[in-house]
Order: sequence, then structure tokens, then C-alpha cells
Amino acid sequence: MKYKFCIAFFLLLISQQINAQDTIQIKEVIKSETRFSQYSNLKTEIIDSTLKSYYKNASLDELLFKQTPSFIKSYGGLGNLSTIVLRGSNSNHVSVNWNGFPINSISTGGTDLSLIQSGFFNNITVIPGASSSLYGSGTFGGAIELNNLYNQPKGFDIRLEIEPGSFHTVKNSIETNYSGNSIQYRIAIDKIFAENDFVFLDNFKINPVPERRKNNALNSFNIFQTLKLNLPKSNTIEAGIWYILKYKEIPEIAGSYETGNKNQTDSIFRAFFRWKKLNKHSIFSLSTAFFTEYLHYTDKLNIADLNYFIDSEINSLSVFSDLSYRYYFNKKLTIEFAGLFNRQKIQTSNYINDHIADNNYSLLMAAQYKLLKSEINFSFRNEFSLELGFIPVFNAGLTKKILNEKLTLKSSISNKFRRPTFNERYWLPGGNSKLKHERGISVDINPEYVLKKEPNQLIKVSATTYYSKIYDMIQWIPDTNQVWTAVNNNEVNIIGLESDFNLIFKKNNFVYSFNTSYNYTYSVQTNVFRHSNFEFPAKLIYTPEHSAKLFFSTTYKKINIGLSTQYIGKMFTTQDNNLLYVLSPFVITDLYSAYHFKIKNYLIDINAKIINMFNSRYQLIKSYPSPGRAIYVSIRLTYKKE
Amino acid sequence: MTLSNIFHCLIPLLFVGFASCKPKPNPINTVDLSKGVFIINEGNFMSNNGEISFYNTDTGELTNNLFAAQNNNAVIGDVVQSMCISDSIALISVNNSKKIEIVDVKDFKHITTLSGFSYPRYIINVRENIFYLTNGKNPGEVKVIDTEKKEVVKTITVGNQPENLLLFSNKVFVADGAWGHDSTISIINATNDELIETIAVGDGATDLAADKNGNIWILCQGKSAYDYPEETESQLVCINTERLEIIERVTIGVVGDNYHPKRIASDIKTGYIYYVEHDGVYKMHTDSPHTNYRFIIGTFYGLELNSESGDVYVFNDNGFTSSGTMTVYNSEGQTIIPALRTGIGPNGAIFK
Repeated sequence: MKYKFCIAFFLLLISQQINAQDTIQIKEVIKSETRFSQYSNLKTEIIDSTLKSYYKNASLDELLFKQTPSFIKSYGGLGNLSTIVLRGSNSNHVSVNWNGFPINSISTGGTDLSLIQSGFFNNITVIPGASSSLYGSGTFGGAIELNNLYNQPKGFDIRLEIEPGSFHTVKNSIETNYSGNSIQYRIAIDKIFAENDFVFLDNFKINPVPERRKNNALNSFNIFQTLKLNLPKSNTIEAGIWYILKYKEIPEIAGSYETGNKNQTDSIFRAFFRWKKLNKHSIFSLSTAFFTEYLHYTDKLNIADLNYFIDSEINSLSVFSDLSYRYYFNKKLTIEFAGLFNRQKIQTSNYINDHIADNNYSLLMAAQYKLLKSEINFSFRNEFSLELGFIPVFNAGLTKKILNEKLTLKSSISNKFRRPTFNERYWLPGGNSKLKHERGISVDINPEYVLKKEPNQLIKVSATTYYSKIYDMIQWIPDTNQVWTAVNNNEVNIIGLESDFNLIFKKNNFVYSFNTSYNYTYSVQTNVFRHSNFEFPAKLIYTPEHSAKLFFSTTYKKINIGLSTQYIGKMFTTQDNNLLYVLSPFVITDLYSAYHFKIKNYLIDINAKIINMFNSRYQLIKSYPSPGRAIYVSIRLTYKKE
Repeated sequence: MTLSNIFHCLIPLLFVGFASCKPKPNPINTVDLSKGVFIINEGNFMSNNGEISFYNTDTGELTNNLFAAQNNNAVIGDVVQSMCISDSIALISVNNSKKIEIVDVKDFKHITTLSGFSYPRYIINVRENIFYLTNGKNPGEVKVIDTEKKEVVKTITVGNQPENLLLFSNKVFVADGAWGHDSTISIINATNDELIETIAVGDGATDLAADKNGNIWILCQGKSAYDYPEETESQLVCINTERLEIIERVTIGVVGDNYHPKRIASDIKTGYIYYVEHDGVYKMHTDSPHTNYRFIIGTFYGLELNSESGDVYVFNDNGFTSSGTMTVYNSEGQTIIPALRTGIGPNGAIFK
């Protein structure tokens, strides 16, 4: 009944607007905005170009940890598995999207952010609490958009960069951009080697002495290409190819008396293609993507052993299709319909069958209605798969500007879901093909107040409060036969606050920017159906209740200096919140500096950064030490021809 | 001092107020370890939260986190697999930390740490100052540890993935084949540390117990669904320790249920053998081994028998997500100590 009501409501809106459409210049409002930015009013964290310049050679985990409300779980050191925690949820509750397609692993549901170089993308946006109706499965925490906007100024440039640093790290990259009237092309290649042999104090040993991290080297190669063709009659083609090859040694847990022989190779290929046709009142778009991932993990007890005792290979394939039609009735009303298809396939000996495949189909309808000082957003998706049946999800948002548009009030409500991953369903033993999808609901309220907005000064403050409820959360636990099994075991409540204060002012030749944020996350299990030998509510593990971040930067002519500080509060590592096993709070401070100058057509950038300048000892995952103070210096040479 | 320098100095101070100290376990000033039960808490794999608990049988007091409390909050390590005591010392095998921790058995103070083990599992005291440790996988080995020299003095190659050991009649019987990776027992001369013989018994020999007749019962857990496409049956196999021949073979459990029992215990006084199945602790008499019955209903990870009292100690891992429990039953199956909260993942105990 409620779906019928929603459809009826929008049909009514359409009928009211159609009569007026001829008198309005629709072209003014046609923009090729992403689906999210068009139909959601959630507060986003956009990494702007100034911030990006500091993190150009950093992987995405470092950038997000320093600059967004997220927490990163990492095994310590460049290239080690790093996953995101947003709003107290799991890593498979954050959908990471590249130009509109989710790149989350279909075997685990998470995304290893250490594999992603942030410099490849023109636009990085974090959307805490993103809706499932726009992004599909797994957005209890939110979503990340990695987009390549095709807005290069006309001309040609080529960049060479080298960045040596602590712990025997060298990053090399080369990048070329060409932008003409009808074509934009970019290719970027980078190669990273890091021994990651930082010194740490192993407090998991009795009478510890400083020692070097061993078996922790990274060797990676990335190539990234994007292309945009502007064709006659308002046709455009966008395409991209992204290849990652990573070889990583995996260190032993702290406290171990052996070096370890674990290794992992990741080989990932991603490609997408999008055709768009802009009409007088509409955009028609056909997109497709093809992703493959190969993971090879090996372990042997002794380096001299001929055979591995773990030798695991997983080959996965994802194919996506997205057919959408967006219609701009007038400046106020926009409606989009889309059909989406996703085929996932895995080949591995770790599963019940060597080959497992799964198809998902979705129909999506989204609408935006703008009034003078307010906006309504709505989206609805109905996803279908043979295993899980129909999963309907929606999102509704209202935005209102008051007090001379100084105060913007945003509110939204959505229901969400997460499909069980292939590992959760098919792993041998323990995979559970009878798993239900996780489901839940979330509500966001976000007031944002602009205290001052002048040419030389901007001051604004924002606070988002949210509530989420997750049912049937999936957990791996030993069953009655002592086989670790995936089961729908938990119910979780999450209440939180994301607040930030931004100040930018210009004086003389100085530009100062000051951003600070505080996040409160109360993320608790309210019910556990098996193994609930503890008191409720119990806080979720690896979720800091308090965290705060600060970024201060100064620009003076050709010099930039930035200072970044993060405080991460206490985190529990056991479900019963045993105080003996908490991760202690810590503070990390980084210093960034840049200087650039030009000689004819050559631009030279010199960057230096000190990461963890006070040499804090901390762990992002218990028993995996993070590096101490590290210094990196980079030189970038750019040749540019207009 | 420039503005950025001032910021630089002040910013960390802004966050000092957030920081708080990690709670430490209360130091135990006087802990009486003279008589009781050391409980081995594995901890959750990859979490470095294994520990030892001590249950004082006279006072009924349970002390958790014994190692941390007695050693300035030191961490014992990841996956505390087993423990063995002699008159003066205790050896603790910490599997994923790949070490043996040696402590004073009187006060549990650290003495030394032995390293150089790839996959340490179970330990027994063979003779004065000499302990055997099963270690490694394919092939496995028995490390002969001299605690006076504090070093490994000999390595004996045995079957794949050796698990428990049993000293009986001056021979050490080693169960080879955890998770079905082998199907033998290796027999070592406890006097000269030489391998005597290897006997095929059944897939997945993992635990052993002597009975009242001077025979040895071997728990063969079968091939595991973890590593093999098809499981094989779990068995109790009895061998004569003089002739080293199989004299009895009893199938237990059900093939295809994904359950592979790991624990066996023997009451030499009464002749009963206990073992853990997926739905409880089972009991059978060595005189009628094909007749068994469920003695305690429940799901258990660990099983021990107090040979003095005949009481049965069972351990629940509680999913390794939080504290486990220890419950004690008398030989009639009546609860005599209700579930006590131990450390994480208790798998067994040592009686002192």
C-alpha cells in the first residue's frame, strides 16, 4: 500500500508540472550530475583540490582517515589491508564507487583502501549514511564516490614525480593529460616500493626492546586511464581503465617470535564505458562496467619449505549495466528511471562449488522537487535476486533554508540492506546459503549555519545527528559443531553526531583555512542470538565513541603549509567490552608543506611531509603496530602546453 | 614564534583532555597457587588475548588474567594452546606467538621465553628437566626441551600435524594428524628420545588417554571438512601398549555432521572414557566400548577430568567473542560448580 501511495504522489506531481514545461528553459538546469548529488540531500565530505594536493601520493585510507569522519582499520604500514569504518558499522557497510559502479570485493564485501591511490581521481566524496535506494547493497555506514570529472583545461601536460621516504619507500609516477575540443584523455602510472621496516616496541613481548617490522614489504604497480569523447548531436562517451598489481608481504602479529612467510598478490582490472545522450529536456545514459579480481594468498611455516600450507586463490568477476533516463520537467522537478543489472561470479576451491554466480536486478525511480528555499528528494529501488527475492528500499529527504538562507536544515529517512557476501554464503566450511540479508533504517538531521560569508571570509558550522538500526547483522561464530559459520546473529543500534567547524579567511597574501570536527558514535549491540554471555548494550568493536580531527593550512603566494591532527578515542576489541583488551586513545599529528615555481612551461612542485611527527605509538588493529615518525619528500615536474 | 608554530604546539594539547588511561588488571598481591586448576584460555585468534586463569579448589576463588597480573600486565600472547607443569615450573605453549613461556609455578612469574618454533602445540614433562613439545605441520616434529639449559636439545621427526602426547610405560605416544592430515601415532622412547615405531590408527589422531587396563585410547577425529571434500568418521581406537597393536575400534559421531571431536579424558579408577561430541559429553566404559551415552548435554570446547576426584570439567568457548565458562560435574553428571567466567576461549586445564 505504501509503495502505491508513493507512486501515486509522484504521478500527481508529474501531471501538475507537464503543462508548464514549454515555457521554461530546461537546458539551464541540465547538468550531468551523479545520481547521488541529484537525488540526495545528505551532508557530504568533499575532498577539495587543496586537500588533495597534500595527499596526491597517498593511498585513499590515509586521506580518509585524516580528513573525514571515518575510522580506518589497518594492519600498519603502507599497503597493508586497510578498511573503512563509518558511523560505527563494518567495512562491508560502506559502498565504494568508481564513476558510479561499486568496487567492493564480492567475496568479502569490503574494499581494501590501501590499493587505491587518491591522486587518480578528480573528485572524492564521502557520504556518511548514504541510501541503499541510490547505491544498492551495503550502505549502513555510507558510501564513497571516486569520480573522474572531465573538466581539464584545454592543452597538454606531462608530469613526472618521485617521492622517496622513510622505511625505504619510493613512489614514482608519470601522468599525461590531453584536452581538446572533442576529446579528453588521461593516463597515470605509478610504482610504489616500500620495505615498511619501521622500528617499533613490541609490547606483546615481555621486556620488549625496539625491533624492526619484518616481512612487511610492498611492491605495487598501477595504471589508470580515462577518456571522454564529445560526439555530434550532444552525444558523449566516457570510459576508464584501471589496473592494479600488488605484491605484499604480510607481517606476523605482534608478540610473535617468528618472521612469518605470508604473502598476498592482488591483480585487479576494472573498466567502464558510458554513453550519454543529452536531449532538450532529458538525459539518456547507458553504462556498463567489467571488473575482475585475482587474489592469491600463501603461507608456509618455514621459508625453506617447498610447499605452502595455505595456498588460496580467488578469481572474481563483476559485470554491471545501468540504463537510465532522467527527465527535467522544469527547473523544479526532475525524475529519473533506471534499470540496473549486476552479475557476480567467483571461481575458487574455497567455496562449496568451484564456480559460483549470482545475478541481481534493480529498478530505480528517483525524483527531486525544488521550491524557492526548499527541496524534496525521493528515491525508490526494488532489487531482486533468486536467492533473496525482492528487496524494496527508499529514501526521502527534505531541505529547508531559513534565516536569510544562513541556516540550512536537512532531514532524511531511508531503509537499507546488505546482501550476504559470497564468503558468507559459500565458504567451505561455514558458508551459510540460508542467510537473510541485513536490513535496517536510518534517520539523519543536519543543520548547517553560515555565520559569515564574505569575499574574504567564510565561517560555517554544521552538526549531523543520526540514528540507525540494523537487524539480522551477520557474524561469523562457531556453531554447535565448532565450525565457524556465518549467521544472522545481531541487532545493532547506532546513534551519533558528526559536527564540524570551518573557517577560511584571506588577509594580504595569506589564505588561512581551519577545519575541525568532532564525532560521537554510540554503536551498540542490543541483541545477540547466539553466544550472548555478556551484558547489553555492548559497544561494537573497533568503533571509537569519540574522535576529533583538525586541519589547519596556510597559503602564502607559492608556499603551502598544513597541519593535521587526529584524536581517536578508546576502542573495544572484544564483544563483551573487556577493559583489559581495549585499544588506548591516541593522537597523531602530521605536517605538510609545499612550494611551487614556474620556469617557462615547466612547473616544479616540491613537497615535504612529516607523518606522525610526535612519533606516537598506536594501533589501528590490535596487535598490529602502526609506523612511527616518517618523512617523505617529493619533486614533481610538470610540462604544460596550452 | 610564528602563528603556525603556535598552532602546531597547541593543537595536541587540545586533545589531551580526551585521552584516558587504559585500565590495568588489578595486581594480585597474594595468590595461592598451591592447589587448584590452571585454566588455559586460548583467546581469539589474531587478538593477543590468550590468558591463564586459576581456580582455587579450596576457596572456590577464580582468578582470571593470572599471567598479566603476576607479570606487570605483560601479555602472554596469541592462542595459548596448552600448558604443562612440573614441581617448580610451568611451560606454556603459545601457538600463534610461536613461543614457549616458562614461568615459576609457585607465583607464575616469568622466567624465560623460548623461541624457534613454527607451530607449537602440546607439551608434556617426560623426565627431570626434559619436556616434549609437538611442533610443525608437514612433517611434524617433537622438540625435546631441556629447561635447565633453556634450549631445544633434540628434534624428532614424527607424522603430520602432531597434537597431544601421552607418557605411559616409559614411552611417549604422539597423536599425529590434526584435522585429518595424518592417521598415525608416533612412539618415542622416553629414556633416550629415539623414535621407536609409527602405527597407523585412523584419520586425525589428536588426543590420547590411558585406561585402567594399561591400554591407550586414541581419539581419531576423522578427516575434516575444513581441508577435505569428504569427511571420514571419528573413532576411538584402543592399542595395547606392550604389543603396540590395535585391539579395539569404536566409531563415534556421524559422518557428514562437520564435527570433529578433539578431547578425550579417562577415569582410570572407574574405567570410564569421556569424549566431547557436538551435542555434549559422552561416556563409555572400557569393558563395553560399543555402548555409550550422553553424560552432559551442551556444546563444549574443552574437557578435563580430575583424576583425584573423578570430577569432569567442561569448557565453553562462547564463540570466542567474550569470556568463556568453566562448569564442573561430578561423576554422576550433577553440576557441582556452576558456570564460572574464565578468559576467552578456554580449551582445557591443568590440575595441581
